[in-house]
Amino acid sequence: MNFTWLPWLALFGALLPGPLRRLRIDPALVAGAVATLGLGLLIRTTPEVVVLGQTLKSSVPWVPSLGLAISLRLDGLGFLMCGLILGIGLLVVLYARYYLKPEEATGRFYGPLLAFMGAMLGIALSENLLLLVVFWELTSISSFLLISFWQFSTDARRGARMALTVTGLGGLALLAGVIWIGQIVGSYELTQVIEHADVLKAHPHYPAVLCLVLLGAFTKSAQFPFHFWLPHAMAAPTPVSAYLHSATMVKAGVFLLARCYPFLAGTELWFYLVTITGMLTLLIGSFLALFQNDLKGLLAYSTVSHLGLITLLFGLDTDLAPKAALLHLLNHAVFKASLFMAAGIIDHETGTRDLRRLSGLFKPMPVTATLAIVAAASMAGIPLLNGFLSKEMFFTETLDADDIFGRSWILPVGATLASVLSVAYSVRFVRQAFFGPPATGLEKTPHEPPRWLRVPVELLVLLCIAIGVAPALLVGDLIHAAASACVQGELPPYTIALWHGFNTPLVMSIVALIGGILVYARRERLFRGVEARLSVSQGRRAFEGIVAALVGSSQRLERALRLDQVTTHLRGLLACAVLVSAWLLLPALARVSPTNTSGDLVLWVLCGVALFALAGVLLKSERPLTAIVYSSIVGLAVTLTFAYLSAPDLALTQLLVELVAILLLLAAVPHFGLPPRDKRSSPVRALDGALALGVGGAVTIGCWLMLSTDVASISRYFLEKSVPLGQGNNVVNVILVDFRGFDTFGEVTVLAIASLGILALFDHLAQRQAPSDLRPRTPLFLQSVTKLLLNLALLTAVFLFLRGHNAPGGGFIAGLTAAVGLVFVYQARNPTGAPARRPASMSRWLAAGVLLAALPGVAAMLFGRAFLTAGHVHLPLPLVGEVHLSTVLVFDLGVFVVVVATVLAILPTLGRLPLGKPTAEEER
Amino acid sequence: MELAFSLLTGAITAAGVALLLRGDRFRVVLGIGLLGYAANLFIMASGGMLVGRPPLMDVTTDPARAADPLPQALVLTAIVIGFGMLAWLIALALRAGAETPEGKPSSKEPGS
Amino acid sequence: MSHLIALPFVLPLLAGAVLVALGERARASRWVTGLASILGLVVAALLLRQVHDSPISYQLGSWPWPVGIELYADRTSAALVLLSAVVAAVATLPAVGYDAGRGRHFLALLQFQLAGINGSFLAGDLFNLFVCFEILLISSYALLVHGHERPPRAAIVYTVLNLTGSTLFLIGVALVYGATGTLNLADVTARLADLPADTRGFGLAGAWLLALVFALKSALLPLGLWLPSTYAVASPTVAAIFMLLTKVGVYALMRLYGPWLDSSAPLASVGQALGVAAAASALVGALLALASRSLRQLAGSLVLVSVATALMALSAGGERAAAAALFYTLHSTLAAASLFLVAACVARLRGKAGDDLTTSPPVTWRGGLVLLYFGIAVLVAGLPPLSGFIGKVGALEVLARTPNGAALVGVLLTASLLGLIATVRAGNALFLRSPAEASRAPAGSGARTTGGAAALMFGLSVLLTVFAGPIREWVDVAGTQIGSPRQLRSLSQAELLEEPRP
Repeated sequence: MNFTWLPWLALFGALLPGPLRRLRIDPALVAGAVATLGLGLLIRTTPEVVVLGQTLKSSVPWVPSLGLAISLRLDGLGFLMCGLILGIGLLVVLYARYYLKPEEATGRFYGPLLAFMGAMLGIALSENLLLLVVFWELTSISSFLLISFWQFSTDARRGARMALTVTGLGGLALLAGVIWIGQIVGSYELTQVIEHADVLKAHPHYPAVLCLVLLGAFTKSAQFPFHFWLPHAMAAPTPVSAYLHSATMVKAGVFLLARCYPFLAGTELWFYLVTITGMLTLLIGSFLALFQNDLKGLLAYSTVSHLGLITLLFGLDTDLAPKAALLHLLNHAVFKASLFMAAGIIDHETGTRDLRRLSGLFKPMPVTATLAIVAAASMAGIPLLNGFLSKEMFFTETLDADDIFGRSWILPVGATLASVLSVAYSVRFVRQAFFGPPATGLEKTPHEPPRWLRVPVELLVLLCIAIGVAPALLVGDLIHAAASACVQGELPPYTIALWHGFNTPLVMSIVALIGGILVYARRERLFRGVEARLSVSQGRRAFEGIVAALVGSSQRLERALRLDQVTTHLRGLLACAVLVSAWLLLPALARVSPTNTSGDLVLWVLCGVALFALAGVLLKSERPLTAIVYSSIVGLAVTLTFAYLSAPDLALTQLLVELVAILLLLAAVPHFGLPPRDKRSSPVRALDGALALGVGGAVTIGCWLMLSTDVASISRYFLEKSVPLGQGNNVVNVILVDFRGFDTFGEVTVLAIASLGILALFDHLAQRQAPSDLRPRTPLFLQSVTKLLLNLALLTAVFLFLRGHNAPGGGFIAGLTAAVGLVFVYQARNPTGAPARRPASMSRWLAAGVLLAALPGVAAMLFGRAFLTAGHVHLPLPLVGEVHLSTVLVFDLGVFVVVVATVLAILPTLGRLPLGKPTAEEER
Repeated sequence: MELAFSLLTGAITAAGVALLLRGDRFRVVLGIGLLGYAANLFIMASGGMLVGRPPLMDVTTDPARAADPLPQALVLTAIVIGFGMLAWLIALALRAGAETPEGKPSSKEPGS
Repeated sequence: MSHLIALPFVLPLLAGAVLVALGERARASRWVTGLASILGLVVAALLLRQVHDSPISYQLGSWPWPVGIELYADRTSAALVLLSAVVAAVATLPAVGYDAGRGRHFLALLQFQLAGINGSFLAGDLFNLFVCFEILLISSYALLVHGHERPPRAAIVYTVLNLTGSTLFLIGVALVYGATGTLNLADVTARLADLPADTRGFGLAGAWLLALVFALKSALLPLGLWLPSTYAVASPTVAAIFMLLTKVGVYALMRLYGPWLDSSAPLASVGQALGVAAAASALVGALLALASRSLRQLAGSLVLVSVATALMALSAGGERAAAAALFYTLHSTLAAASLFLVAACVARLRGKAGDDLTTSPPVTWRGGLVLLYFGIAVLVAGLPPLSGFIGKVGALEVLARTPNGAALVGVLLTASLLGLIATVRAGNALFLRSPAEASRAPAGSGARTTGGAAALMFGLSVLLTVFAGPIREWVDVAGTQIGSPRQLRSLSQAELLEEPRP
C-alpha cells in the first residue's frame, strides 16, 4: 500500500459503519482504524516527501476522453494537509466516541465522517484539477450530512442547507474555472498546468478564471461576504465543528489558494483580490467574534478571521508569505480544534454554551480550563505558543509587502488592529467562561469530563506548546517542504524561530496584546449599542430571503404562465410555427413566379363551398349539431378534391372515415353539453384571430410554393415497379401494403391502440352497464332492410378487399365498409345503441388483427428476407388456371380485421355513455 | 387552380386553429378534425396536382404522366391515424366530465 | 441477413398484442411481460454489439435504398434502444404488481409504447418516424390517464398539444418531401443542406417545423412547459418510462440536424436557435423545480433542465458535442427515472399524502430510502462523483469552446445550483423532519418493489459512473457517427430503376 490508498481507505471505510452497527460493533473503531492506518501510510513517506522534498505521483485513468483521471500527487503541501486531516481526524474520532451518546445513530455519523475524511484527503492529493473538484464537492455533500446529523433541529437543517448551497455555489464556480483552465492549457493535470502558467496568466480569460477559482476558495473558506454560513454550521455536533469547521474543510479553500499559487498568483489582480478579501474577512471576523455569546459562535467567527489572515498572506507578493500562511494553517488547526473540543466539553458538562450564563468554571473543571486557556492564549498570539510564531511572521510579511492602493501603512495597521480584536475576544472567552463567580442555574453541575474526552484536547495543547517552543525542530522541515511545493520553486532561507530580535513585528505584537486587553476592559463603553445591531442571523436572513424570493418568484412565474390552459401551450407552439414560416416562406414567395394560374372551375367551386361551410362552423359553433353538419360539408369538399385530383383511394377512404367520424361525433355530442361562450378579452381574441390567419396564411403560401415547383422524386420508382415487382396496378395500394407496408403496419397499430385506450378509458362504465336490454325495438321491416344492407355491405367489402391491389379499394376501405354495415345493423336493432356483443370483447379481435398483419412480415424474416418482404405464389390450379397469391393479402386481411374491430369497439362504447354530468357514484 | 387549392387548404387550417384556440372540448375536437383535413390536403400538394390521372397502372398508363402516388399513400396513412386520434380525443373529452368545474384537475395519483 | 434491428420494434409490438389477447389473465400477463423485458434487453445488447464497428442499414420489405423504408442503427440509436430496454424493464417491475391492477391493457400499452419508442430510435425514414411517433404518442395518451377515475386536465392539455404537433409534423414532412422528393432521413438531411434556390425556402421551412415538433417532444422552451404538470399526473412508474419520450425528441434533433450544426449549411441556424431555447429552458426548468409542489413535479421540472443541458451541448455543434449530448442523455434518463421511482416509493409509503412537498408529513425515517433519495439527489443535481457530474463536465467542455461559451456555462451552472437547492428542499420536506410529524400511515402496497426498482436504476447510474471512461470512449465514436453527415450513395432516377432488390 502506498499513499494513493489514503482517500480510498477512508471512502470505502465510509460504507462500513452502517452495517457494522447492526452487528453491534462500534463504528468508531473503524473510523479510528482508518485514521491510524492512514497516518501510518503517510508517515512512511516522510523521508522522501518532507526530507528530500520529492513529489510522488500516480495516475489511473477514469474518463480519458474528458481528461479526467485519478491522478494523485503527494508533495510537501499535500503532506501537511493530509497530516492535519488524519491526525486531527483521529483525535476527533476519539473525542466523538465519548461525546456522542451511544444510543445515537452513530453509523450515520461515522459514515459521512469517513467519507469526508476521504474527500479531504482527495483534495490534498489531487493532481488532476477535475478530480480535485470531484473531491471538493464530496466534502460539501458529506458535510451536509454531518451538519444535519441532528436532523430534528431546525437550526441543523437550515445550517446544513445553507452550507451546502453556499459551498455548492463555490464548487460550481470552481468547476467552471477548472474547465476553462483545461481549455487554455489543454490538460487538467497540475504538472501541465504549472508548466503552462505563463500562457494561462497571459490569456484574455485569465481574470475570469481567477475570479471563478477564487469564488470557490472563498466560499469554502468562509471569506467575506460568504462568511455567514460558517457560524450557522455550528448547529453540527461539536466533533464536526472541531474537524470540519476549524481544522480541515474550511482549510480546503486556503489549500486551493496554495495549490493555485504557482499558476494563478503573482499578478496585480490576484494581489488585490486575495489581499483585500483576506483583510476584510480578518477584520470583520475578529470584530464579530467579540460580540458572540455562543461559545461556538465566538470560535466560528474567530475561525473566519484566521482564515482571512491566511488568505491575506497568500495574497501578498513577498517570498515568504506562503510559508507564513502554511505555518498559520497548521497552527490554527491545532489550537482551534482544541478550543472547539474544550467548548464541546463545557457544553457537555454544563448543558449550555452561552457565555452570559457560564462563569467561574475554573474551579469545577481546572484541567479543562487550563487547557482551554493555553489554547486561547495561542489564538491570541502569546509567545511560547505556536500562534505567536505565525502571527509574528504575518506581521513581518505585511510590513514587507507592496503598498496597497499606494499606501504602505494599510496592511500593517489592519493586521495590528485585527490582532487587537483577536486578543480581546480571546480574553473575553477565557475571562467569562472560567473566572468570576460560580455559574448558577445550569442544567448540570459542572465537573471534569470523562478521561478520554479530554485526551485529544491535552494532546493538541501539548502540540501548541511544543511547536511554540521548538518550531524549527518539530515543523521546520515540514513547513519548508510544504512551502516549496506551494510556490514550486526555491524559497529564501528562513528559519522559523521564537526570537528574531527586537523588531517592528514584536512591537506590533506587544501593541496588540496591550490593546486587546484594553479593548476588552473598555468594551462596554467602546461598543455601546453596537451589539444590539449585530445579529448572527443577518447573513442567514439575507440568504434565506434570497432563497425565499427565488421560490416565491418561481411560483408566481408558474402561475403567470397559466400552464393548466391548453391554449397557453397552443399559442406558443403556433406562434413559433408562424414566425418560422414568415421568416422562411415570405422571401421565397418573392422569388417564385407562378407557373400556372389558369382558373379551374371545379376547384374554385369546392373552395367556395368549403369557405362557406367553414364560416358556418365558426359562426355556429355554439350549436354543436349545426357545426358538425357544416364541418362534414368541409369534409365532403375535401373528399371531392381528392377525387378530382386523381386520388380515388383517398376519396373513398375519406368518405368512409368521415361517415364513421360523424357517427362518433353525433354519439358524443349530447354529452358535451353546450359549448361555452367566448370569454376571451378582445385583445386576446384579436391575437388569436391573427394567429389563426397567420397559420392559415403560412399554409396557403407553403402549399402554393410547393405547387409552383417541380421536383424529381422517388415516386417514379413506385410507378415503374408497381406492376412488375409489386404485382399490382393500384400503385397507392401497392405502396401501402408492400413498398411502405411498415407505415401501414404502424398505422393499424395506432388504430388498435387507440381503440384499446378508449376501451380502457370506459372500462368500468362498460362493466357497470352490462348489456341487459337486447330486445329489438325496431319495426320488423326495418330489420329485414338492415339485414339486407348488411349483406350488401359485406359483399361490397369482400369485393373492395379483393380488388384493392389493382383498383381503388383494399383492406382498410373494405374494413370500413363492412364495419359501417354492421354498425347500421346494430343501430337499427337497438336504437339505444347497445351492441350485440360487449365492445370490450373487441380487444381480442384487435390483437388478432395486429398479429395477422404482422404474420407475413415475421414469416419473411423466418425465410431470411427483411421484415414485411412480400411473398408471391403462383398456384396452377386445375380448372381455375393459375392463381396469384400474395402474402400481402394476409397483411391486408389483418388491416381489415383491425378496422372492423376498431369501429365496432369505439362506436358502441361512445354511443351509450351515461350523460356527461358525473353521476353520484362517479363523483365519489 | 393552384391558388384555389392553396386557399382551400389555408382556410381550413385557419378555421381549425381558430377553433382550437377557443380551448373548450367541443371546439377543440372540431378544430383537430379540421386541421386533419388541412394536413392531408397539404401532403397532397407536395406531389403536385394532376387532374384525371390516378396512379393506376394498366398498359395504357404512362408512368411519367401519372399522379404522384407517394403523397396519396402518406395521406391514407395520415387519415387513418388521424381518425384513431380523433376518436381517442372525443373519448377523452367525454370522460373528462362536464365543462363547468374548471381547474379541478386531479393532481395526485389516485390512491397512491 | 440479420434481423436484429427489426426486433426492438417487432418484439414489443407482438408482446403487446399477445398481452391484449390474454386479457385479464394476470399470471400469464406477468410472464409475457417478463419475457418481453428480458428478450428486449438481450436484443438491445446484441444490437449494440452489432453496431460496434459500423452502422446497420436494413431495408424493410427488401426495397432498394432510398425508396423503401429503412431501419438504421448506429451506435447512438443502439445505445438509446438499450437504454429504453433497461428503463422499461426496471420500471415495469413495480408496475406489474401495482399499476396493472388498476385498469385494462396497462402492460400491453407499455409494450406498444416501447415499440413506438424503439421504432423512433431506429427509423431511417421521415414518414416512418412520424408513424412511430404516433404509436408512442397514442400509447402515452392512454398511459397518462391510466389509473385516473377521470382524465386529469393536464392529460387533455398534453393530448391536444401533441395532436397539434402531429399536424405540424405532417406539414413539415410534406414541405420536406415537396422540396427534396425523398423521405429517407439521411437522404433528406443531405439534400436539405444543399437545396436549389426555388425549393430552398419551403424546404427549410419544413425542416424548421420538424425541429419545432421535435423541440415540443423534447420539452424545450418555449414549447416544453407542458412537461412538469403532465408528468405530475402520470403514475410515477409511467413517468419513469415517459423519460424516454423526451429522448426521442432529442434523438430526432440529433439525427436530423446533428451533422450540420457546425457547418455552414443553412440548417446550422437551427443549432443557434436550439442553443438559445435550451439555455432558456434550463433556467426556467430550474425555477419551476423550485416552485414545485410535489416530488413528481420537481422531477419533471428537472427533466426540462436535463434535456436542455443535453441540447445545449448538442447545439455547440460537431462530433464531440454530439457525444457529450448522448452521454448526458444516457445519464439523465436513468437519473430522472430513478427520481420518479423514488417518488413512487415515497407516495406509496405515505399513502394519502402522496409525494406532496408542501403540507404533508415527512416519511417515517427509513435509512435506506433516505440514503437512496440522497444519492439520487446528488445524481440529478450533477454533483460529483456520479455520472451527472461527468456528463456535465462533458457538456461544459464543449460549451466553453463556443463563442458565447461564458454565458452558456453560466446558465448551466446557475441551473445546477437552483436544481441543487430544489432537491435539497424537497428532501428536507420529505425526510428530515421531526419524527413527531412523521406519517404513521401504513405503507401502501408495492413500496418495497418500487424502492427496489429505484435502487436498481440508481445502481445503473453508479455503473455508468464507474465505467464512464470506456463508455465515454464508445460514445465518442457514436458522436462521430451522428455528428457528421452519413456517406450516401446518390443514385440518379435511371440508376435507381435498375437497382436490384436487396
